[in-house]
Amino acid sequence: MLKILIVDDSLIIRKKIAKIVQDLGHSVLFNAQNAQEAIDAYQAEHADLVTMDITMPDMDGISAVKALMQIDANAKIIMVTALGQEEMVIRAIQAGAVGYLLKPITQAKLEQSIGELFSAYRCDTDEYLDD
Amino acid sequence: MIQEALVAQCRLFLEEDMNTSVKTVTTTDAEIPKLMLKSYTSMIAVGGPNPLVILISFDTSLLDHLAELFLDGAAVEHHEREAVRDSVCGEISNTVVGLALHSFPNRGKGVSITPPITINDASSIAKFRTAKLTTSKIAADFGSLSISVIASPTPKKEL
Repeated sequence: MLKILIVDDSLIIRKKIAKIVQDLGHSVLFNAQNAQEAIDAYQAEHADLVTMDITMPDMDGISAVKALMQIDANAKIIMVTALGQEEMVIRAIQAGAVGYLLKPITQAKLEQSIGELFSAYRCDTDEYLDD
Repeated sequence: MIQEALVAQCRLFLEEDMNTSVKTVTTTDAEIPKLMLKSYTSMIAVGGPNPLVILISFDTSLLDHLAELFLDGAAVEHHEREAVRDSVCGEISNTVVGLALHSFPNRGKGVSITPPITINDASSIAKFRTAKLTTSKIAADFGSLSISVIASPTPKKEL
């Protein structure tokens, strides 16, 4: 079971992702509505996976990725994005994000991302998947 | 072109992602002096060669239906209800505009969109001087929504 940190200023997206995370048998480490909350939460406890909105007030998702990567160089961060934000996605990946989820978010999309991201770990170790 | 792309993507989103049937689509491209807004409206500005503003406005009944589908059983506290409506209004608008971008002139290259802004307390927007207003009404199960585009009167590419 993965501990997932959800970062999004949109209430409905936080709720939607949290529901999917729980339906997939994982747990929500924290629901952060801005980058600072996410940084504080990650400092308190490292998440196995972070879903990160790109456009947020105060600090955008790219800056938040950089901040989380400074805390943990192995942080696994997936950007949540709408079409039309390709340049920002590229910048986020350059900053250390490992992938992206295109809206509308569905259980199948998140499940696939998690599967692709953690399949390597599943082969080598059960550290991340201790079901 | 842009209006058609927005309507097509909205229809696709409602029918395929939200399982909500579209009954009729009516587009008015005649001179509109004033745009009437529905209960919940989201505004997105589009930058690039042809800057414009897109407004997507929802009946409460349709928005509540879409919110329910969007949440897929996730709990909503009573005090969160309005925030959920605003949030769904913005997210759907963001998704529809984002999906339509590839159908914009030059396949949307060089076009940027702002995050959605939700307008709660306005009932209408009056046209100022030579702004061009185009609006489409999409009637669906549970209510209707409108998609409106405000543009310069002399766009470089056809709307």
